Amino acid sequence: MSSVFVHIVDDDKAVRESLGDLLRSMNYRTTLHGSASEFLDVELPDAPACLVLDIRLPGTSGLELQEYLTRVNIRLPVILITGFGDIPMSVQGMRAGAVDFLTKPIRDQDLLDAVAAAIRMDQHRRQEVVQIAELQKQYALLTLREQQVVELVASGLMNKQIANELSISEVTVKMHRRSAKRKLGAKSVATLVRMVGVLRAQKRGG
Amino acid sequence: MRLEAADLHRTAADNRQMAAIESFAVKLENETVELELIAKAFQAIAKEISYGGLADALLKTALRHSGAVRGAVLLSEGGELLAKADATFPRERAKVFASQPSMREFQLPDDLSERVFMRQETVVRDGSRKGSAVTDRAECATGPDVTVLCQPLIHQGQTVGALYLESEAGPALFTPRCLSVMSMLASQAAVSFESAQLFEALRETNMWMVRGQQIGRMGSYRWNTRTLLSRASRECYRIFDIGLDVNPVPFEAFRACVHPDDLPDLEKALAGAVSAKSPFSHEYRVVHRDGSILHVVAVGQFDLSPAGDVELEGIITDVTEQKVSEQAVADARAALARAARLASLGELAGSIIHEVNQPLTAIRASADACLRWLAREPADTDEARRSALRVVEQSRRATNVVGGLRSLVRDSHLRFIDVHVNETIEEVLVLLKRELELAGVVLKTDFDETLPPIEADRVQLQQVVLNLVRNAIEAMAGVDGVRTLGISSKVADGHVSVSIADTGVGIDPASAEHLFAALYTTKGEGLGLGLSICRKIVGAHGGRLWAEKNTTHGATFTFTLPVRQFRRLSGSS
Repeated sequence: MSSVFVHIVDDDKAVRESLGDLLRSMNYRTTLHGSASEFLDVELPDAPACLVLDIRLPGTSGLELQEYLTRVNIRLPVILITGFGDIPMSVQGMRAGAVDFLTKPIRDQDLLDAVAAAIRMDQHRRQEVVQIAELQKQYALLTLREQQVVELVASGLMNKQIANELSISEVTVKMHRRSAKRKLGAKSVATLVRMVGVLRAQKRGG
Repeated sequence: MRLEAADLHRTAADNRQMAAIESFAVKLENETVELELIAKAFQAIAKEISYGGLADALLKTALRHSGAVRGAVLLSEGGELLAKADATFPRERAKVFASQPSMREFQLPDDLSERVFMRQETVVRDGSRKGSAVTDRAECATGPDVTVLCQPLIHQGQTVGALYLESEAGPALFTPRCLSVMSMLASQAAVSFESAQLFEALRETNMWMVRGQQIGRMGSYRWNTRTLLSRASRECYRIFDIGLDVNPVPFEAFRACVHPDDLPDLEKALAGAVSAKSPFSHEYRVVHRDGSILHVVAVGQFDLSPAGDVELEGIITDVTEQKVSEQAVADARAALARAARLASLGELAGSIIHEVNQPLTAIRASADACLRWLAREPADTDEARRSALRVVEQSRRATNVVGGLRSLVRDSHLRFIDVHVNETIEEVLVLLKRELELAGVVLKTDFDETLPPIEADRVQLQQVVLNLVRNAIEAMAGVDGVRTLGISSKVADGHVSVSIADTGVGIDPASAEHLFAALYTTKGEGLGLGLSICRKIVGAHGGRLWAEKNTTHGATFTFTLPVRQFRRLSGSS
């Protein structure tokens, strides 16, 4: 059994159990939930995962749950399950960023494809998160002066300009640069600039 | 008279008497001729029924008889003379009704009008041409002197007008005899003027009625039930497109105008009303010679004619235009109802589909999972078994959903009350009247009037009839020739049975049973629920519904319903 999770939220016990059964037969680990609040109550395992979500749920609807997850920055890929006459809701769900929507009754291959795609997306996203976390950790190891120099390099300033800006000698700037590159593991200035870009985006994004 | 005079002449023996007799005979002959002329003049005057014609006739007769050269007849304005003639009349209000030569103004000297109109004197006097009331002053400078005769027209003591004559042959023309004839003419004319006024009033009233009937598209009629002849107003002739020369209208001519499909009912209604002497009201169609169709409503009540015959008197209204707008409203309403019906069916179907879809989703996923467990190396038979069990379990659930739908129709929606089947069907037919008309379907009903009331859900029963009749109409839509819908009812063995027969495309014996399966349809726009619902409703009543192909053409749908619902006592069936 891999450590890849599929969370299933459907108010119909038979439906969520049989979908769970099917996904388990495809070697996914599954968690089953009868409602949005049940799902939110449990702690999610720290593993690549996706959410198979019934669009019609009593209480908090599937769409509302999807919206809530986006709002609280839980970036779990969502596959919507829709029934008869739910096309308008499905469209809304897709606009809100769902990976796919599947119409009941569901073909196993469709579910397999959708889940595989969603998991790939989540793995990719998780990898990014790990990389960013690593980067942030390394960045934190820089001295304040080194951080200042790196920021100015990323802003496109020449060494001489940076020296002027910080009222230090050009030689000292070069020294800080070398040190920062080593600490961050950046082989070139271009890599350094890209790293700063990712960090900045992360800071802005939340 | 003249022959008698001649006989008198031949048989007379006394020669001495001859001269006297001859003179008497001549005189008598003259008087007779004159009397005949006067009688004719009276007739001519009496025959006239309009003011203008009467005045003309009076003037012509007076001129011819007196030998006067000019003249005029005066009357007050507006036909009010008989009622309103008073001291102020007629100087301000006199009007020339006829004159010779024709003129616009008539200037009667004051003294003359005073004497004639106020004192009602007949005046004869000589005067210069300047005194003429009928000659234009510019032209009257020269010419012979004139003698004027002015005679008041008096009716019931009131002056209603005057006859004015002028002679150029001197006063000799107006002899006492002439004056007495003029006086007779004048009094006859005065009487005739009154009749003319009454006639004018009558004509005006009649014209109002004719115009009113035209505007209201409403004609009145009187039908003699013994002679079968009708008298009718002009508007009736328009409504029925019968020539005005057909008067009175024979019943056959009337019958020929009625739409053949409506004739049996109309005759039945007429016969019923005649035998019961009850007020009559019936709506039917009239076909014009150009093929156009009018919708009319006839109402009437019975009355005795002066001859003692029973007559139907009433009004026929052309309601074609109302029908057209009613039709537009009905069409819109039907479209709305259809849309609403489809929407509610859509909703119903949606929830049914959802209910069936859930177990179906579980079955599909579990079956797929089962296969995958088995396809493993080695096969995980425990998991496969669990999946297979879920398939079985969910199949049962789906079956229950369908069973629940059946019981939905069977139990919770039925409200049994005493229902008169014939009446119930007739109510549906009223609803479908327009649809039948539009589809050109002739309806033939054969109801057993001895049907007992049955215990049934009236609304559901009407739903069944509505569906079956609609199906029948649709089945006949593509068929050429006569489209007949036959509905009959009868009672046997504690069951009432109702048959609805059409002359449509019929049914394929092979598909006779499929017909009643849900979602089975041969129609482009049908949902295929109609007949299955019908069968469920009939079944829920403890009855049966089946279809048969007719021996000639078309199909017959028959359902039976038990008179009493024992089912409820003995539990669910």
